[in-house]
Amino acid sequence: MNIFDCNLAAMKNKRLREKVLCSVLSPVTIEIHPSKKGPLTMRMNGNYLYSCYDPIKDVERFMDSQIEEEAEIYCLFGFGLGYHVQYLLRKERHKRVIMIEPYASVICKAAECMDLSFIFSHPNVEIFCLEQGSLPIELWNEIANGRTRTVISNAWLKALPQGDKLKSLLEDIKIRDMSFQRFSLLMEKNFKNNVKCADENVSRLFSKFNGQKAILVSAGPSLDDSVHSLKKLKGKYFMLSVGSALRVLKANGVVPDAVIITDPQEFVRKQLDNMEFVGPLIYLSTACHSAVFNHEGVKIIAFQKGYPQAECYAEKGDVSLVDTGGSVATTALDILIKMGFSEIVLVGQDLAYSKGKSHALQSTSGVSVVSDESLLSAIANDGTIVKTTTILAVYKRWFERKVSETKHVIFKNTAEQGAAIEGISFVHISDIVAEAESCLEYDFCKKIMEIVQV
Amino acid sequence: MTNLIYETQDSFYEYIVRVAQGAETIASDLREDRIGEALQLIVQFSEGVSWLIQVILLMRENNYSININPSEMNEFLVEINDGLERQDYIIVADMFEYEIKPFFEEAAKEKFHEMKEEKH
Repeated sequence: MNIFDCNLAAMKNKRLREKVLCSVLSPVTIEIHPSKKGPLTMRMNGNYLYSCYDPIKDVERFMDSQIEEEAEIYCLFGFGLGYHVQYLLRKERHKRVIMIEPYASVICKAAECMDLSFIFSHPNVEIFCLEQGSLPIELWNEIANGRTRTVISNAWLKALPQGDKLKSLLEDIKIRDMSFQRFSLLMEKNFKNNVKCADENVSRLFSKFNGQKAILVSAGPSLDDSVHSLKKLKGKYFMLSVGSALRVLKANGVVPDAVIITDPQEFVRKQLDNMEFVGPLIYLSTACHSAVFNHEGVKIIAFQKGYPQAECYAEKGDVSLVDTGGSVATTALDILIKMGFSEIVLVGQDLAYSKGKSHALQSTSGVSVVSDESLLSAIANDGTIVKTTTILAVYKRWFERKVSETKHVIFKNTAEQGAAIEGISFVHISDIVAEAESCLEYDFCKKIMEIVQV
Repeated sequence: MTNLIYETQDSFYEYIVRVAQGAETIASDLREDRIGEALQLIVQFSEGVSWLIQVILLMRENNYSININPSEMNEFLVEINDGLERQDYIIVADMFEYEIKPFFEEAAKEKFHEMKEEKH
């Protein structure tokens, strides 16, 4: 019996065996060759999944960073040459491992080259090939619960074909995971200090602005075109600005009704320093503490889903959680919806490198784009093609999902050369101004102060 | 002037050791999917290597040479940039661990020496 036949004989999962036997056409190209040290390495769609020098050592280091004592189940995406599963079975002998591979051809190629019978026959391992069909719903529920550690290698994710349905979902998960891993200590420190200095929590504002209209000001390049019109909307629309847009607003004599910050890093403090903004500051529980501490106006804390300490604190205080979506603008949108606004206008929400820039000119953030080789393409509101990044595409998908779930709110987008967001029609800022002329003036700040009772 | 030359050379020796250590850290960060951290370090690495190249060239103008080839160092920067543009972090990690780190570990053993003028 050759290696392939031995591997097939070892497969407990009959459907998987049939799929591997029948796998012919595949949207992935696979190359397997010896690494410089000897063990095989694999390239999928032109991207290496493992080191070309020492794939075993590469995998060990990656998996050591992913192993969690509290995890009861590991869910690994991408079979490759089975190195990740193999190492995990050695280190976490008694834990269940679910391996999800979109393409049977990958398992087939690996099974032709190396002895994987240990993995295929192991009682703790379940391998699902998505070409067999969907995963059972009970399995998805298990994967979604807190006791499962999901492991997705960035190299494998990059190698997935662009049109792969799983890719965007896994990118969302991976970006959040990487962000959390990177900032977990800082977030914890911020959280401990932020809960002590809040004047009120944001859920006190929920459903208090029913029927009113709001503007969410972000710092994308299109803000430069719209900022001059924002003064005319003061008092007609509730203006919530992200921290990085505050400098642009101040330079144009516009004072928002509230500012929101969410990032835990210290750079956020510079967004508020010397801006002389004393209105309400809405901040995520894990946001940069020094920015919160130094703010002279009322401080309104928001507790987020997906951060265990925030969820626990909110449950004790019987307060609602917010959906962050991974960015300050996505968090702001969720809060505005919950506050009850019936119309939300996006200003400066480009989600693309419009005009070769990432942000408005005077924003505290911003880079110029010099090379577009690794960028994705998106259709802009004016029908042109603009460049965007994986992470901006992730946020765009969040906006689209949110909008599709929120039928009772009218959404409008004023970023003419920004990426078109499905479900949000483009409206020129001048039309927003024209419509606002018939709106009654309203003191949003006073209303907030009454609710917060400070 | 001579003091400045020697001080610069001392800084060069101190820094080149740290570059080798930094290369290992970058490789680890990339392999463990700490991409954000790695990219920040790569920026510092690039600036540092550019400074090292500058020092080697300026020392030559002042009749001091060292057995380190600045073109090779420059080539690393070009290859790293290529890998980053393609977002192939596996290749970049391999470069840092198996090419750049050994190069700078060897380079750290070298010292500047005064070039003797040829007698005609």
